[in-house]
Amino acid sequence: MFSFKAVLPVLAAAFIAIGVGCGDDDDGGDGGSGGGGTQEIVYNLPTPPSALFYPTLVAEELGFFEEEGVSPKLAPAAEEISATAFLDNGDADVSFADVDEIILARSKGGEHVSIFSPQHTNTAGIVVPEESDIQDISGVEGQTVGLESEESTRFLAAMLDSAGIDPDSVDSAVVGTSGPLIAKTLEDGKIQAYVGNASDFTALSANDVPLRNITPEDVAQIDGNPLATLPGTLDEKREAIVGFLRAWAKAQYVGQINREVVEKIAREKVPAEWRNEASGEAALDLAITLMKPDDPERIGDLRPDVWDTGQDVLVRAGVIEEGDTIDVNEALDDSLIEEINDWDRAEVEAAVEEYEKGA
Amino acid sequence: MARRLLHALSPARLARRLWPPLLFLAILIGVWELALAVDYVSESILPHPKDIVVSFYELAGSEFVWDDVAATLWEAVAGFALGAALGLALAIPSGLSPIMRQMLNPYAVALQVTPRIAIAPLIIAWAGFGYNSKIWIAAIIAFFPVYVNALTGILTVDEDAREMFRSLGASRWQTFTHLMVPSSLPSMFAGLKTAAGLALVGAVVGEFISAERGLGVLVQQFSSQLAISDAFAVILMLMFLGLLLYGTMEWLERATVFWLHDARLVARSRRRAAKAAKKLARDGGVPSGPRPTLVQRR
Repeated sequence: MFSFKAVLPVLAAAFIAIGVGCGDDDDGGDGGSGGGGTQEIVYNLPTPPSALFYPTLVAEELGFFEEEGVSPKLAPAAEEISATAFLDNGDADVSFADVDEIILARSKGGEHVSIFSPQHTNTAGIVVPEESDIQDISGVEGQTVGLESEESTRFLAAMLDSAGIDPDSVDSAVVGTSGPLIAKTLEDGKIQAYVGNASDFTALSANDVPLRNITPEDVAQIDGNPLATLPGTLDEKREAIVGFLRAWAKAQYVGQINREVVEKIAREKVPAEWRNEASGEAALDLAITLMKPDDPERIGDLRPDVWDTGQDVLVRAGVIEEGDTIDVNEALDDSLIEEINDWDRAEVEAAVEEYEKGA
Repeated sequence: MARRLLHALSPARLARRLWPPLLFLAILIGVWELALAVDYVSESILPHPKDIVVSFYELAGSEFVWDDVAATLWEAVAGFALGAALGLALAIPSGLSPIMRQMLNPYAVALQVTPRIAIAPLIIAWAGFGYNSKIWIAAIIAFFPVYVNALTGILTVDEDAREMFRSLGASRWQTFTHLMVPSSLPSMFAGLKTAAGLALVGAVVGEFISAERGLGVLVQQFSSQLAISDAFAVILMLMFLGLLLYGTMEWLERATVFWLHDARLVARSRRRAAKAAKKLARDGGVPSGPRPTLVQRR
């Protein structure tokens, strides 16, 4: 009565799946440029391909990665996973981490170094509704603050401490990153301020939820998403890392000189981000603003003073003990910056013009 | 086959089957619209049903969404197959050997009661950022229902039937293939149907944490951009994917465990009888011609 023939397809599928589950894989598509003779480099970002990190999209489309002989592969991961963990377990060669992640990793004995910092402004901050009575960080005393994730707790504590407010006098609740939910909880008065990412603030503001940024100035200056790596990886893949970052720097420059080209590429590469036009426009504007370098000739330059501030913030928040602080100069390696910026601006401008003509 | 399909799709039959769920849907949409009309729920949180339908059609017509559908479907199907294979591979020895059962059961239960969302980031850190990590998360979630149902099926084989196999001198292998496997299949399929839906959940959980593409990525993207009707449309797509997986398992169950479905049992018996009659006729065993009816035989 029973025949094994009937269950054979199930068994076959199962064995194929086991083979797949145990094998190598890649869900990447747009992140890599492939090609023979290129060096592969795996980089970690906190988002999937996005206009927020437009340099990878632009560098691929305008052929900068190919020019530099690198084949980059994206390893995206949300805030739940520490960006430095990707370096530790060898899943990524370079990782766009947070300043505090790198400082914490080093204070625990890690050897992580930052070699490039594309955003000279903090991507995290605290906002209140436009019409709120709260004027600055001291106004949140006795209020409830919504958090992007549990990880934002230490950031909030640091900001409160810098304003001389006892963190225990402020309630907090994790609200997440869903725009509608943040808007609703602010509107209902369940939270009076929100700690999160600049991309969330701009999406809300672009969709008729006007917000006011009350991030303390010293905290607002801390770099967002500096690039970290391990010394061993740097020795082993120096050429590929420099090539990748040079291509990134060229693409970052394109954003500073021709927004339209970047928008066109972003629309093509990540159409889902443009389903809401206002959010798409706002995200791109934000990305370009955040990636405006202090010195256009030294894109990605490292700023030790800002890292000192970052460490002070962590100490004040009690995230690291006074005795566990690190020498930030040891965590920063700016020896590649000149090499990364050693390219002809005019050639990049010509490539942009050519692309515009072709388009 | 074609006649059965035509019968199943006849307008009268369809109308009879569809009106209760459609009525419920109409009531649901009515309550939904009312809640929006009286401002009980904000439109920024819950869009109008018609906006979701429009978004769904727009997204379905776009090119980019199909890459995400394919990615999620692949992760769910591969994760399901992997989880089901592991579940069956461990349930069978556990069902046959009490020692194996004692050895494996505590860990299977421990895995089930551990919140998988908590270990998902670790799995991604271990298995990497590609498809593998999502497949493993889906597999771990899909594993338990298959394991426990298959084990239950094997352990609850009818004792009288076992006794009969023993008295007929059946070997262990014969008892396993002709008694235990068929007897446990209904229970196994119950587990497989549950696991198919759970594997999709696992794939989406993995995509929330780390993925370049997939419907989970789209839900997050649309949600953070306040494109809320698009986010709901993607959820609708996920629901259809879940139904597709469940329906496939249901179909496989009907094809495999046919003796539980009267119509299929009769159809299969007829097919087998016809095949046997044809073979006999070909071999010259019985004269061809109309088969005798039951009355004639008597």
